[in-house]
Amino acid sequence: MTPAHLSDTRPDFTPFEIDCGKICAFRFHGNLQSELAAGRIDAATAVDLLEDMLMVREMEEMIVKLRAGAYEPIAGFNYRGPTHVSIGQEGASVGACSALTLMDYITSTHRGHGDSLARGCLALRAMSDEQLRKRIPHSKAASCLELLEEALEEHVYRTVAELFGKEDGHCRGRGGSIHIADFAVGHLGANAIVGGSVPIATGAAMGLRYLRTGGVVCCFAGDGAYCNGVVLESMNWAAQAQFTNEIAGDHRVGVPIIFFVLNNHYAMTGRTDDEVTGGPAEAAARAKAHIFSTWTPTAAMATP
Amino acid sequence: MSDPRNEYRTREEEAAWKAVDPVLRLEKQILECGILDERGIASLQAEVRERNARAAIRAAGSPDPDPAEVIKYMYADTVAEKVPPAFQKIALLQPPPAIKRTDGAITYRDAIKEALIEEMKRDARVISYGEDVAEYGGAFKPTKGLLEVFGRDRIFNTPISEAAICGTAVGAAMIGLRPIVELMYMDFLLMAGDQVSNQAGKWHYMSGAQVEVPLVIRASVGGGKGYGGQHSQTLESIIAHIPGMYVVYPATPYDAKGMIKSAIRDNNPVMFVESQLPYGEKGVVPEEEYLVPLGVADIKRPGCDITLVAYGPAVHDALKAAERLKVESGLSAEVVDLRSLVPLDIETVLRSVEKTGRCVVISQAVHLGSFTGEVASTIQQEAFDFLDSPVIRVGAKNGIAPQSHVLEAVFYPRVEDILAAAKAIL
Repeated sequence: MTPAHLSDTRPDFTPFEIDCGKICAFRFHGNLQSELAAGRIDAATAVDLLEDMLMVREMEEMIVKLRAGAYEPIAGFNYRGPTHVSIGQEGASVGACSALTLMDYITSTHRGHGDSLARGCLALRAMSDEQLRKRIPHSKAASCLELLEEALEEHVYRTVAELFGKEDGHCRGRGGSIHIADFAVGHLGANAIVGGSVPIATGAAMGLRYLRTGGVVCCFAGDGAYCNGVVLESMNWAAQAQFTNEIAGDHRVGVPIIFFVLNNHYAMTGRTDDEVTGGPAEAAARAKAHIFSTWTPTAAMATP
Repeated sequence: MSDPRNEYRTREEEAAWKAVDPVLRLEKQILECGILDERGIASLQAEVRERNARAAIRAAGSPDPDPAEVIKYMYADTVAEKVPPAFQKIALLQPPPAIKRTDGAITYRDAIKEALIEEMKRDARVISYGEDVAEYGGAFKPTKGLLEVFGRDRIFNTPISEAAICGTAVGAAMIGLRPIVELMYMDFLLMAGDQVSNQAGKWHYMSGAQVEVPLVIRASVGGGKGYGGQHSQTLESIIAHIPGMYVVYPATPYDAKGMIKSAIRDNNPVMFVESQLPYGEKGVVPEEEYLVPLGVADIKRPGCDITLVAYGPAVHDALKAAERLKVESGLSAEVVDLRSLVPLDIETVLRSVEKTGRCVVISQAVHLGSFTGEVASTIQQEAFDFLDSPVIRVGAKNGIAPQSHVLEAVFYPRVEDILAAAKAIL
């Protein structure tokens, strides 16, 4: 028998057609009430998610106000640096991070304050008291709730300090807004190069596959990034046949990555719909071209 | 978004998106489900606002970084001295191929291979991938036979995706692996420009030293084989100019083995440059374990009349020139092999120049912007009082590597060029 790695592709010019299949979108028709009824979320978690979304919104509105000198608590503060806010995308950041565990990782974008705050807050909420105490070793909190509250505030503090370029920031002020990272909670970094973090996420996921330790990488990137060469390279990389076919021997395991497309319909000011790319379904069609398993959470979740 | 937003979208479009604001929608649903009432929502909003304000006030008043530490965290100062127990157990599919020695000598190619085998046997975190590296053993065969020993989990072929090759290595390194990736020709580095220079090199610093990025990029230089403009470049000067990467370029089999082992164990990203010309050249390489440290130059030939500083294949030309200076003019040239551009051991160079008073700096790189300029200017700044003549640089022509054998022969610096430069200042 020919060994699996030896190519034996013969000339074959038989005419064929490929059915690229259906791509389903916007399939979720439920709401909080139906999710509560189905037991997929509880009331306290819903409030936590809202709180985390509010924290992102509040922080980004602060940045916008600071630029205009109109953030009252520190009115005279001279904020320098980018104002790449993600106002309106809080649901995506918080929602995605709420589905991750402490074993998982994220990578983010230049518009990544929301992803960073969300990953931190949701990771803190999932931590044991012992893990929280390790994160804030000087805490004198008496109860679990106090401990969590302190850890959340410290996370906001270290995030804002990073935006302000301060030594207490997550990256000691060396990274700032568009390079914020918090490796202790599996945040492998925002990235000021559009698409730049996508191969990093892919490599981290490939590493998880190699280590066989479980976990996934959630790779946040915008619709604009999906026109970048390295992003297309990464999609192909993750979908390589050799990871799952007979060449992989007894380790036929795919690369555990979620390409989470934050489709805000703009690549800077260029419209990804009908201007700088193709039509609105282009991004989804590209995933199909790389033979990803297209998971439609909404379809499954909408069924009571 | 913080721009005025009136140049590229309608007000109506923005209003339509604001109507589906996720924060407002979740608030509304929480109200509708009776989880919180209006007062409850208002109090949650106030709590968040106050917490953020407290954090902002504290952050605004918190200390700035110390200006004295402006480049602190550029490089990790650690190496993987010990392998964690979980990664010490290595499954070999078959015994590694024995590297044949003749009077203790092996080729440069085999020196690399022997080092990779040793390091992959030592540490399961070390994996290796690139174009053609598996069954084929790499375009120039330094990884031939490794697949059969370590299996496809640890050494595998990749798509022709240089940016993803380097970028995935960054991600894998961030979560604890130690990848060695191959760029078949150093010219292809430019395809991976962002991933090497903005990602691999920068994350240790940009994260405030939260993460180390231990990876090795093996880049092979094709110059001298008649491959023309896109397969002949030696681009180490570009990477040396980008802060965050280590750049090493060993000239001999002994240094190649010892330095790639050090590079693999180092917790910084290392650009490991190999020239294709000496892949078949032999040199004595011990079978037993040894490391050659990164950032330590080596005096390849002692002398007292002139210093010839070189790295990579230019070291061999410098040695030939030194021999001819002795035979033809009775002069004693000291040859300093930099071995490593970043970190740079300028001290060894300066000590030599202080002794000889004369110096030629040689590389195969295109003259304009070559790293030799950095070395020459540092010598002139730090050892001016010891110099008896200007420091001269020898490099390739300021042009594009030609395919024609006749043209290529004059494009790269020749031994005669080094001799002429030396004689001009002696």
